[in-house]
Amino acid sequence: MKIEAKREGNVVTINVSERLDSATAEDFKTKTIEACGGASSVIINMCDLEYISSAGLRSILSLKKSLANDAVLQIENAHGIVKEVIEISGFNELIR
Amino acid sequence: MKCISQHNIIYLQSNAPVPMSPLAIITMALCHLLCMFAPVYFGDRTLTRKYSREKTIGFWVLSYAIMFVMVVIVMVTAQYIEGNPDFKIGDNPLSIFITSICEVAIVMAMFLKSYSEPKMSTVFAISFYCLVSIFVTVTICDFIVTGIFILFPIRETHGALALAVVEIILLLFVCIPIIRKTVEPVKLFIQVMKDDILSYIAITVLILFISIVNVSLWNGIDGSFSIMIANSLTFMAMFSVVYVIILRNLSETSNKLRISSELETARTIQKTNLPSSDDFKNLSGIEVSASMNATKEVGGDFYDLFMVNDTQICFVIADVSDSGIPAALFMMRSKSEIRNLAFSTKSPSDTITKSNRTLMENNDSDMFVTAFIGILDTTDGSFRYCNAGHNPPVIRRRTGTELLNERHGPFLGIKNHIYTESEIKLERGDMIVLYTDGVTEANDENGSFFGIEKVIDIVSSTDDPKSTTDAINEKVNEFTNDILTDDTTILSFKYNHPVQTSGYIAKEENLPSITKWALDVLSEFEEPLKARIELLIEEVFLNISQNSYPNEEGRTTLTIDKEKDIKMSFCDFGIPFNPLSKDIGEQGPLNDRELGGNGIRLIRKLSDDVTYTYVRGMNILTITVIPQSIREEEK
Repeated sequence: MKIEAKREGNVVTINVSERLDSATAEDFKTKTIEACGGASSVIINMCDLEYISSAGLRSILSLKKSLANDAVLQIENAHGIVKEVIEISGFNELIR
Repeated sequence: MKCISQHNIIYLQSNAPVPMSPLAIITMALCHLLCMFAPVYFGDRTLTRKYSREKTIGFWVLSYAIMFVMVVIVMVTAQYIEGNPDFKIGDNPLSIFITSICEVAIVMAMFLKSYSEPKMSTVFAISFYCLVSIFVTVTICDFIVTGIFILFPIRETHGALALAVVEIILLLFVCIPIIRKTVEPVKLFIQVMKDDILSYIAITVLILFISIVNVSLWNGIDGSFSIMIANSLTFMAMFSVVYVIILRNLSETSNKLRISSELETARTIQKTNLPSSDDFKNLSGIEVSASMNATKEVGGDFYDLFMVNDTQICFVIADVSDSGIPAALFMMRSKSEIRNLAFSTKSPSDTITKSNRTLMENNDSDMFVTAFIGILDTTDGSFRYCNAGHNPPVIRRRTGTELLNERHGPFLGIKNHIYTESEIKLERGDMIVLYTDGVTEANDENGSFFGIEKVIDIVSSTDDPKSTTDAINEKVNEFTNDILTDDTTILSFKYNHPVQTSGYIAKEENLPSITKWALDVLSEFEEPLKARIELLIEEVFLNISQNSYPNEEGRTTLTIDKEKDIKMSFCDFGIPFNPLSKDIGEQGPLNDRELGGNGIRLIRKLSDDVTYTYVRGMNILTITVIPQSIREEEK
């Protein structure tokens, strides 16, 4: 898994690639929570993400809960199995 | 009861009541007390006494003394109330009834107080029935005899004999039908007594007979002290005998109840010790069916079925010489020896050779067991087997039905022998039927055997193990008219297709290995399906490591059956845990959600079917995924 976080003011864009599974979820969680501190809008670009499991979803949920109540978390460019997993898990409200 | 008959006659017989001198009463009481010693000394052999023998006798004597005093008080009061010496049928039977009920109650209370039996309530029910029926019949006889006396006043001793004869005849026509009638509606008694009913009737009749003799003797009494003593001594002897018999009977009944309940438990233990259809239905690639009918409560036959490793399944059928409890004990011993050795050696011949040695040790009763062990490799259908003096199994192949005739040595438990083994390769659809000699040697009315030909015919004409097993049982029952003389056991299985199995320690770090293994097995399938499989394996595998083995390291095996659709079975021996019970269902806004639970939802949604069972310490989660290609075909 690779993570790149870009910050423009209060907006953070995260590019996550390869696999977001049980082995990488913890790493994703700590890194993103750190990068998104105080952000009002977070966009996770899943363009290059090939695989996500429930552990990955949990880390996204942890990130969402770490943000302020009025902050927005969005997912974009999810495709294939990743999109399917996000949809059937009821995370589709995040999809932009 | 003993009071019942005497007093009617006294009132009836004399114009003036027989004077009961205090000395006579005391002597009689002492005699009665003495007669309680005999039953406790000679009667209660197998009953579990709660207190020491002396204390038990003490209880009996004390209760009897209380009862006796009560009887005397009631009698004397009745005499005073009546005031005149003439016989009054209205008052007297009431006092007798009360005293008799007291007597029954005290005797029963003493049974309960003095003995602790596992089924004391049933024992109580029997003895209560016994005493009540005696009481009822004696009372009825008494009334009839009293009536006769009123009509034909007979006096003096020579009349007594005639009276006894009359009363015996009445007994036969009155008491026995009454006892029979009282038995009918009381199902409990019938169930408990079973074949003992005659002995209870015999006791009843004996007590009645004693009452008659007693009454007859009393008839001749002129109230003199010496006759009173003689009479009391007769009582003592007779009632001692009766109570000894009652207690002996109770002892035997309670012993029988205990043995039958122990046998019942033994049977349950033996039955639950054998694999059941629950154990079979989760097997992949093969179908299994088994049955065992024991002639006695416990039997000497057994079959067994277990995985010796991830891919090899071991089939055992065996028959211990003899049947009943000794055979059942030897069977349990053989079964666990064979199972343990099959686990450690993974070889039929080694298992047989080594278990033969173990069973020879300390086999003082010279029991032996015939056995057939076969180990099937579910990945390629190879079947290795060793036959130690057992009936040759029947194998049905595409080319025909025949016997696996090789013998690899004598039966187990008698002499040392190095056993060999044979190997065949099963093709898809091949079926093997293992059985014990109870099947082939089942007798019909003329003494002829069921025979192996009939078994071969049935096997070649049926399709699957279940119908084969059922058909053999049905035909054997028809042949023998449902009268089995030996245990009949059948274990049949059909090799449908190969399956792949691999086992891993359920730890997160092993996730890549199990995933790689599974994807290799499923290499011919398209990419989106593989991604789904990968996701399913991750969710299930981590779920097992967290929930089945939260505090320990344990294995899980994954069996993949891709014959039609893809079936993945995860088995582990951890804490019973049904992941499907944790489904969180549809949820509200993300912010209110708990972190966990998504895995289960993914498993449910990404698979076409998912089932969970817990069998013999195993969590089994089976996931079915239907590949796109099959889905399209079906359309």
